[in-house]
Amino acid sequence: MLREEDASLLERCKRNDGVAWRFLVARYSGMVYTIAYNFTADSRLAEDLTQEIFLKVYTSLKRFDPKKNFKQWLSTVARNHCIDDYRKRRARREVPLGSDEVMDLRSCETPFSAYARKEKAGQVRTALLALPEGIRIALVLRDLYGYSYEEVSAKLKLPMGTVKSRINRGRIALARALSDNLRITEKDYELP
Amino acid sequence: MNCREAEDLFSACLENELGKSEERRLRAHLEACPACGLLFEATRAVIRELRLLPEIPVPAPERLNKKIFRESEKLERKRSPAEVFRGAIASPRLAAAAAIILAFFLNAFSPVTASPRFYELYTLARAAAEDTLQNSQMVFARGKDEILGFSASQVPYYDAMKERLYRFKEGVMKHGELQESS
Repeated sequence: MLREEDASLLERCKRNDGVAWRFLVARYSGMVYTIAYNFTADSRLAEDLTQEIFLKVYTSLKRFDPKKNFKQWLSTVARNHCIDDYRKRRARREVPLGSDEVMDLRSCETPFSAYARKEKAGQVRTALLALPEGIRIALVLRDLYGYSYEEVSAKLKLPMGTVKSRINRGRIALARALSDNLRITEKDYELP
Repeated sequence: MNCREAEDLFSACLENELGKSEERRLRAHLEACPACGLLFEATRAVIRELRLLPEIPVPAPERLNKKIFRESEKLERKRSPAEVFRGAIASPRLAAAAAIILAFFLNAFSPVTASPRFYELYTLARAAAEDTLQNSQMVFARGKDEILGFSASQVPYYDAMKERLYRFKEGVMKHGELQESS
């Protein structure tokens, strides 16, 4: 089957071609859902956010320049939407108080644990998603999506020192939880 | 330097943001404290693993795409009727495929051949008429000549096929009407 390029699909979407829109959704809904899930660690919330993101995209398609990279643009829209959602929930105090405190992750069991146990990446994701939200979001922005500390601070409207502290504590919590699976032994810790 | 103070400097050290004297103190502690040394290397490994995570997809629920389609169709219905009709036959090839299929079934509305090839094309053509075909060009390119070449003949399960053809014809007729009014 021919794989139609994004630019061609987008042109058809601009002409209200429903088939082209469905094709685009099917192609990228997994990517957007993954982004939303990385931010929220909640499948229902991730679904809702994914829907909202695609509706946002749908209403702004006519203005999108098809020469730009649609996948990158969509990824940016998704991340920004998830950040906005987090900030709104934080402002409404829907994010649990003390969510910047780190818990011991070693005993965490999530719905994905059984699936993830065999895969190192799955184990890392399971541990990441078990982090308190305030720490996880900062870590996701910095280490998954490559935002600078300044950008993370600006996006989350937090002081730089707080951002750096959360990211550091989150990384160390993951390291403690995963150190067996990362196969770090005494032999490996010879310093450069 | 105690272990807690050392841990506070891990990320800064791994990202080369530590001053020289602080780095020396940290490295001295890591050499003296095997647990912290291991934890430091584990932290370095975690950063590496996290950077690979965006490429690993999370399985999305199957209903998600349908929900998105439903919501975007609601938005679409709020547009003007003229805009909707123009958009429904956005692809000239899809319109042509639908017209061909309509002509075929109107001319051959009697038992049709049960060959496997026909069913394959029937499925493609139906999907095109119902707007679920992933690439309408495929129907047009592969189906046109073959669909027109089929001739009617007796098949088993005639009543069930006839009912399906009725439903299919209704779907195709809808596109035919839209085409005439655009």
